[in-house]
Amino acid sequence: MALPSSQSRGSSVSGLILTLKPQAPEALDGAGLLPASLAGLSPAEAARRPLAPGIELGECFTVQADPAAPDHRLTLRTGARRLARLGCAMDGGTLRVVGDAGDLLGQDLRGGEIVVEGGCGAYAGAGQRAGLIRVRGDAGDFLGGAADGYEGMRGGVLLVQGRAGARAGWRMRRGLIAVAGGCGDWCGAEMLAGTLVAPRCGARAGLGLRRGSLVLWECPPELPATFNDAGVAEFVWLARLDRWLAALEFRLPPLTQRARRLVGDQGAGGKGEILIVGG
Amino acid sequence: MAEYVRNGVRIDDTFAEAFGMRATRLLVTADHPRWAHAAAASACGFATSVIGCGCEAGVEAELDPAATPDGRPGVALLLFAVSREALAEQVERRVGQCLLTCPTTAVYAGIEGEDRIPLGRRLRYFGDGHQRSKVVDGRRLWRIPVMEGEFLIEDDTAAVRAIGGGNLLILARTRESALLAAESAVAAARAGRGAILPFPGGVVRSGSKVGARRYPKLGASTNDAFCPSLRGSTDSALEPQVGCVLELVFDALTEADMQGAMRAALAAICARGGAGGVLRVSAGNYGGKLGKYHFHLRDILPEQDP
Repeated sequence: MALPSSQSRGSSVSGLILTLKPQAPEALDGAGLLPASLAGLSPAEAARRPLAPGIELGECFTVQADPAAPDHRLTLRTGARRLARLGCAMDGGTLRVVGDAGDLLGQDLRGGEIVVEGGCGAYAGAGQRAGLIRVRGDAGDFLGGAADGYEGMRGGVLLVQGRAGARAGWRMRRGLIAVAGGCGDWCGAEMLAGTLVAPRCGARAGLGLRRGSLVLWECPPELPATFNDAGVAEFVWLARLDRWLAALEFRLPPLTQRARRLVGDQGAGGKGEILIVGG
Repeated sequence: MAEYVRNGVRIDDTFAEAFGMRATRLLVTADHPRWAHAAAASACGFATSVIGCGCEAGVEAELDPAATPDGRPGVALLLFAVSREALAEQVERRVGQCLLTCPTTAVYAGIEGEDRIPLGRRLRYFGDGHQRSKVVDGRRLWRIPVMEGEFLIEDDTAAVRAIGGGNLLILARTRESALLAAESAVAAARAGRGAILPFPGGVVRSGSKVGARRYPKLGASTNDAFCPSLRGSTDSALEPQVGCVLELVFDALTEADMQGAMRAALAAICARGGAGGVLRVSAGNYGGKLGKYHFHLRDILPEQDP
């Protein structure tokens, strides 16, 4: 998205802080709240930007300059999960959410970084193509999963420090999802490819898994009968993955090379795998 | 020939003539340094000269686990060839025969560049359909199942412009004094990064001239002007006191790397001084007509430090 020309820029070139007003509508579409679309605007200019048809941004948010932040950083103080589609199709910059984000966080994300200090709703990272999403709290169902009109995650990195709900990685095609607090049932179900890392997950993990990798520390409680046990072996790529997660400053137990490999889902081609770290 | 003296060692006021090449760096990791070195020794074997080996290769550096992509010990290899195509062919052969086969190794691209050549892209078919791709940190890796577990290799690597054929000639009173000077020079040059000395121990005893006088079909033959035993029967370049000549050959990624390696080597030779038995240092060239790069010894290591 093109930045405003220098002539239309306000005097401020700092980042902005948007604080949700209590009187704002209960549910809001936050797709337009992108660092690039507000970069270079003064708080007054930003407040006059349309948020939705007939609604100006300033009607729902208090807008402040953030002198300590660079031009391409936008901070949202949201409170509860009322803002859906935050960071939708964002292609650069940094979006920081202080509080919780609603559903479809980072939908179709193409670049940049989204940091959510709280939790987020369902379908975070749906259709994500690139970029990085960090969620400090818990995530809802369908993390990185396919939403209506969108495929599952197609690239980039999605890191959740808390727990994720059911069907994490559903129909995911590429990229990395890591969930430090573990995932719910149907984790990696119908996953096409990519990598999902979590210490543990609920029942029926990997059902319909085609080619991707689920990396777990604990064997799921109920595994589909369509997975074959390949035994324990050494997988150097796990060491490489461990280095990458460390570089992303994501806290997980160390990934050893040694892992038990469960191959499946044989009902979906059998080219996927569940790796149980440590065997 | 004009010359200057440094610490009792006469240095010819001449230059080493070097050529453009293509190169890549591979990072080879393993569970233990001895397996990384075993892989490196195999991959860099029979890679002294592009004339007969297809490429010139060597270990650039030993890598601490903290500096490798997978946190295991490793080595950095540099491979040089005359063209991009020749480099790609040599990389594929040597990786396929020497690194894929070596227990516990993994191979990563160790250099950035836009011109890419396959690394694991074709080798992956060894997996016979069981190979798997993983994109980790923006890099595509191939997991090729092998009897020991899995061989991990990056999809491609860069072929960068580089320089080959930098050289120094050590003219010494005896073979022992020439060897000692050469060994200290090689150790000094190998302490840096970005360059290799591809010959055995970094040293060449059989320097060559272009063509041959008696055998027209030969492309290269012994450098008789620098053979001590031919003094009196050929147009010798050696004074009577010279009993042995050894050559150091350098390949480097950049001109700065070449200068750094040659400077370290020349400084180590001079540090031994004339009393150490080294009489003279020279360099090989073709009058500046063939090679694009000229490394003048006086520029690399002047008579006195500035």
